[in-house]
Amino acid sequence: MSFYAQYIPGGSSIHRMDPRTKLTWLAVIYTVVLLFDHPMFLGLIFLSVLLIASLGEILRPCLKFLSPFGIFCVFIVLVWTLIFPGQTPIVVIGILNLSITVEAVLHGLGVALRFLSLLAVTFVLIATTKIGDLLLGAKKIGIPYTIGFLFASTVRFLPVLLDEFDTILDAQRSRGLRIEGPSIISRARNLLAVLVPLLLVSFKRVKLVGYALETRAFGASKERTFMRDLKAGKRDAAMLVFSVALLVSLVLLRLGGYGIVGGLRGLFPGFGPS
Amino acid sequence: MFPPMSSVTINDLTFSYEDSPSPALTGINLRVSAGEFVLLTGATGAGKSTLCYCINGLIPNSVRGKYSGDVSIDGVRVADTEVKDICIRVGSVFQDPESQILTTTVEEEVAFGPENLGVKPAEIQERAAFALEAVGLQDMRDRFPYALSGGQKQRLAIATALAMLPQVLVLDEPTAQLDPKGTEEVFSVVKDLNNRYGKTIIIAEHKLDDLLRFVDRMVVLSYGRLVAAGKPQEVLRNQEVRDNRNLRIPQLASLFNLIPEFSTYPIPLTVESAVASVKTALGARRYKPNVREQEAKLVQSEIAISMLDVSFRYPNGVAALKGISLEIGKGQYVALIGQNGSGKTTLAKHLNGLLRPTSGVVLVFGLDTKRTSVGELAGHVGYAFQNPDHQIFLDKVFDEVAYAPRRVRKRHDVDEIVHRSLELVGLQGRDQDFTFTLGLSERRRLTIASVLAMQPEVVILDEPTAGLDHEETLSVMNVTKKLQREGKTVIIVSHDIPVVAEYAERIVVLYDGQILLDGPTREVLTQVELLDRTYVKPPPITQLFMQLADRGFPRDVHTLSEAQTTLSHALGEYP
Repeated sequence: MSFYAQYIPGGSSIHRMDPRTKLTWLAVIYTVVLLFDHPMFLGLIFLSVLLIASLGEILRPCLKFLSPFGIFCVFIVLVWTLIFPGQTPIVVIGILNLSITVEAVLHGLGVALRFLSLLAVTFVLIATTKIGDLLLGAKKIGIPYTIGFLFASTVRFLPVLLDEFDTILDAQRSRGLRIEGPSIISRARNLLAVLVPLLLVSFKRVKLVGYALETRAFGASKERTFMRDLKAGKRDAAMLVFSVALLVSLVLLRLGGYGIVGGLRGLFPGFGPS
Repeated sequence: MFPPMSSVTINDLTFSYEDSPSPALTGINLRVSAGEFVLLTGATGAGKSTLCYCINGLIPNSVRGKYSGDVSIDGVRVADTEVKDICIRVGSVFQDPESQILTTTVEEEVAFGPENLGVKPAEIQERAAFALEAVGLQDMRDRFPYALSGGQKQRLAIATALAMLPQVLVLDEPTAQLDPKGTEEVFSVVKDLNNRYGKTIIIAEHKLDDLLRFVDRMVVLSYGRLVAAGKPQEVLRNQEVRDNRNLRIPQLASLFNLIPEFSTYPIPLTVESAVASVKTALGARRYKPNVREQEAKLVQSEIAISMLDVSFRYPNGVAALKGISLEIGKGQYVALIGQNGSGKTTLAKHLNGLLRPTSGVVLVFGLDTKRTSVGELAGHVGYAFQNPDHQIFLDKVFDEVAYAPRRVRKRHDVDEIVHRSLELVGLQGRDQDFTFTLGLSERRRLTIASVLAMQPEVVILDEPTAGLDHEETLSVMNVTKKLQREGKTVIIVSHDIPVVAEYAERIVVLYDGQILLDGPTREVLTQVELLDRTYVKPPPITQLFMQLADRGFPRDVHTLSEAQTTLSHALGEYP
């Protein structure tokens, strides 16, 4: 299992970019995906993120990271298809008093692509940015170092935690514990056999990480320094132009009434173009 | 007598942890001078880690308890100083490599400490370069530390400590989780820091065989008290130390202590010095083989497990096993050895279906693991993992062992099985104890009992002796012997070569996903050149006897008792 993101060393232009530039790009993508629900627009946004991933030479790991979420996306599309109020029916299932509409399918696809875009953009940021640079960038735009570090550590220790989860699961299965038990109650009880050890080893680890932090003077000086300062260059300018152009053009399109599947007007009156 | 410049001074130090009734350290007095290399040793729970924490200031600054006495580093009292002011004087390296990595590249990791101190960027770069050079990681500055090998991770941890420019380095069992290759890397870096950079080294360790030769002074702790301190040769002759059943005395030292003729010879710290002493003692005498020479042969028995041309590839594409064919007979005692990444754990996980071959077939008592669930196989093959923390989850010993069998058996049967399993691992009468009050070796035996409760015919133990002292090692390994006598097949996965040599009758050596060697223990252990390829060294005793071959000694001596009788025999024959 690899549904976590971590730094992938490299020397691509995206790796060498100022983290503030990447944070701006991230903010733009986070914003524009919320503007639309039409799969064509969200699909284009998603492709633009994959383009950046390929410039960062991490397209393959990025797709690998996204693939386990595929099932979840199918689920999203199914659910929206069933509950979204649309006007253009494709199939009508009379007995269930249910109709599947074009709008519902489109909306479902859109939501799934929005979800994938958010995952991908976050992955690209984490995979191409050294943690120290990211925290320095965050600090320069006003996020305190310690708070940033807290978040970063969570990302850092997630893979360790998942490894540990796998090991515990294996250890318990090896002594005859069937996690795939027959009833929900026994399954929940067996899950405890994994969660209790996981919790205990995690507590231990938190203590050990604490010792490591203390003996390396974490938080010792108010004037924390950084070995390398950030340098913005031409590639940062290019990326900023790209991000701003993306934001402006998409906002204009949205104001012009594009990119929303019809049904939303019914749900939220006044939200779509009039 | 006072050393010229005292680096670390400990005066009458006593410490008890907050929730513990008895002190972890009692009345410790110790002076370590600048540039000295000091080894702290003693049983599990003897106070080694506690003493390390008292020197690096985590005690009493972060870990609370009752503290009296005084520790100072170059005149700076630890108890009155914040950890951030101590860490520029004392660098710390801990046991677990994973918890010490906090950033995303090797270079950042080394810069992290100095950055926290507010050191100027240009100087941080100099420090990082120096620290990485000192541990030999200068070519890996852009690597992702999480992906390094265990030995490299610990060298990185040493570099991060060095970047704070301390005079003293305190290492708390830095090799506890490493394979022999990683251990060798760490020891050689530590020796180098002492020799070339004059750092004061204080290291807590169990693995004495490869470390003692570098050590200026050996300090033995027992139940929180300092029982001996001095040159290793003297300390190992000390009667109190020799009587300490918990201490893992190096093989060669034990051998010299066991044979009266060697009482006038210095305790050997290396195989070479042992060879020289033995040859001097022998004079012109030779070993005359007698009829007892055992044939190194494995008893043929029915096949329990067979692997046929098994290959395995992890989902990330790494080929971990490449065409393994192996048959394990009923009632055999087999050891799987090899470095981390050689495929030994992957192989072991194939034996109970946790992993299924990408190609090839694994048959367990005739069952194809591809078509049998792990749950079903658990009734044939039990697998106890290395870290008991990954398995124990209930309060009471009885419930823990009864948990899995309860699901498949009647209540009355379960009671009997649990008691029988606890008896086998020597935990009889402890069924109502709370699991969290047990020590490491008891917890490990408890996990073996819970595996036995499924009544498997084969028992696999992953690193059964990791982190255990001498007495505890014996308690766990005697369980394995007992299991074999009960007719069970025992498979251990281990880095602990002396233990493997002592207990296993057959060794399978893995290297790069393939079987490098497979045969009776005494045959495998003398294949020095092949073993060397995977950084495995025969036990010191076997190394000694191989160099005594020109005096007629058998080359394949591999247990302490065998070494003692063989040598005594040669020495006693022509008095």
